[in-house]
Amino acid sequence: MTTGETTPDKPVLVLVDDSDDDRFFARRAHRLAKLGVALVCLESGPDMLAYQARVDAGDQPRPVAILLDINMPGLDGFATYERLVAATPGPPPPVWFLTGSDDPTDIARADALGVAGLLTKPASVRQLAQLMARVVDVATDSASGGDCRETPVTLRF
Amino acid sequence: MVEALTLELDAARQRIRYLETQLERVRSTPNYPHPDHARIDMLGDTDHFFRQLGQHTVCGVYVYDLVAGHNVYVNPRYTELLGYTLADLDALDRDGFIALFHPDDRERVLTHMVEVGERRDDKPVPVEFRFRHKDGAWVWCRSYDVAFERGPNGRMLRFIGSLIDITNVMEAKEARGQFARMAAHDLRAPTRRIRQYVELLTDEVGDELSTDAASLLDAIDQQAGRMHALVSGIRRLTGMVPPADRTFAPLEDLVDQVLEAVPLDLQSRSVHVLRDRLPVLPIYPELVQTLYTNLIANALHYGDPNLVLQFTVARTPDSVVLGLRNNGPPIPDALLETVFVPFRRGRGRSAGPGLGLPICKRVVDCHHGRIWIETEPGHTHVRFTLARSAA
Repeated sequence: MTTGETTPDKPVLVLVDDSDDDRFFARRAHRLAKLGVALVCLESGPDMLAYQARVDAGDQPRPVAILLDINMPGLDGFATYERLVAATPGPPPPVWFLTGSDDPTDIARADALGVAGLLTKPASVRQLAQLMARVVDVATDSASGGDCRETPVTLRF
Repeated sequence: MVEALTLELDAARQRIRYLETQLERVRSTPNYPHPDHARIDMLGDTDHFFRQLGQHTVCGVYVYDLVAGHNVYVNPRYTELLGYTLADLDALDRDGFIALFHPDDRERVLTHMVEVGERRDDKPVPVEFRFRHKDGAWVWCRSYDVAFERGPNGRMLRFIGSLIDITNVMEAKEARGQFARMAAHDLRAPTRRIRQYVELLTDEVGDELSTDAASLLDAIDQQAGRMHALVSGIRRLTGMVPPADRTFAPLEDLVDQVLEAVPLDLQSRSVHVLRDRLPVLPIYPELVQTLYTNLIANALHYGDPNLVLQFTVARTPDSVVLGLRNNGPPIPDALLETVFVPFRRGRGRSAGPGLGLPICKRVVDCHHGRIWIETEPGHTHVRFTLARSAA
């Protein structure tokens, strides 16, 4: 299911997250960040694969970045990414993993897959807005495909 | 009457004779190293005693021969626990025997054997490992080994050991850890979302809020923040697994990095940092960073407003003792006993979730070291080692 208005010329940021709450926060953060991109919210890995198929068919604009939640029922973020890469001709889609945890095994797996970055979901909508802005910055102003890991939220105890 | 007395007398004489022989037995064996040994002799046939002990003890008992490369004696309980008879083991060469240990544990077991050989005080050395049962299953064992026979040059030829099956214990530990990790993971999301909703609500109605209402919202946010810190702490505590190998890390650099990560706190108040010259040690650097970070956080929280933090190092003949000393008030005796126990929180409303020092202890445990606190009016000094003491 797709929400958020898209127009053919406006670049798109995609968020894939099974949590209603987190999609709600993302929309609020997107509004707050006043980005020059539209936000498309998807609910699951299969939704993302279907969306990418439409992109590859030229029916949807190619997203500048995809924020992909790791912890989803059914097809999780890792599995979704692997299928996405397998199904997409050309360079891998610019995926940033989202995680609610600081689980070192998640970090190691994300590293191994070579995604654009791994983001820890912040406990503040304002911080989420800043994160989105940074992702869009990185995605739009450079052709950098290299190692641009962002871990903006350092958890303290 | 006389007859009865004579019988009594005979019995008494016999009893005296028996006691005399027992006494002689004890006297004639010089220098018993342990009083129990004399007692064993008094039970009669020593061989019988040890045979019975070997046959019926609750532990698996074995003698490992370093030349043969496998066990040259195992008791029936060993065969019961691990499946192998002596004949099975005789058929193995050294590599074949070592291959029965779990790949992740082999190196530790080999290092352990060296340690047993180097030990000169006859104290058994403990080790835990997985061993492949004859039926193929892994059995977690806890074992105590001690040198049994040495060559003329003092090199150990054989050691004797006893082992128990701790598979249940290890599985329960793993299950408990997994549950705690899962619970902590699943609790994080709702606590994070509470804070986000409070943030949005505050933005939404911010101007119309009475001071009371604003402080109530603030209190909700603070409590959610504490819960967030708590679940993070639980995850760290339960998920902490030391990497495979230690690395030689300069503690000077490591402490630099830790101090850089807390600049805001250090700048916002007067903190004076003193540093002894810290050594390079074989450690798990990430864990030790966590250790120092927690100690600093504690000192910032409980220490004097004009904080003096001293990173200490002291060398004893068999270890390097590190520490962090602050000029805060002493920890009361009543608290001192439980500071390393999870969830026993310190003083004050703003105290953390009570996992700081337990996490420190976990780091030190991963290094087989010790951690303790020296506290008196005027200072508190947390001290620790990061290696098994040679003593």
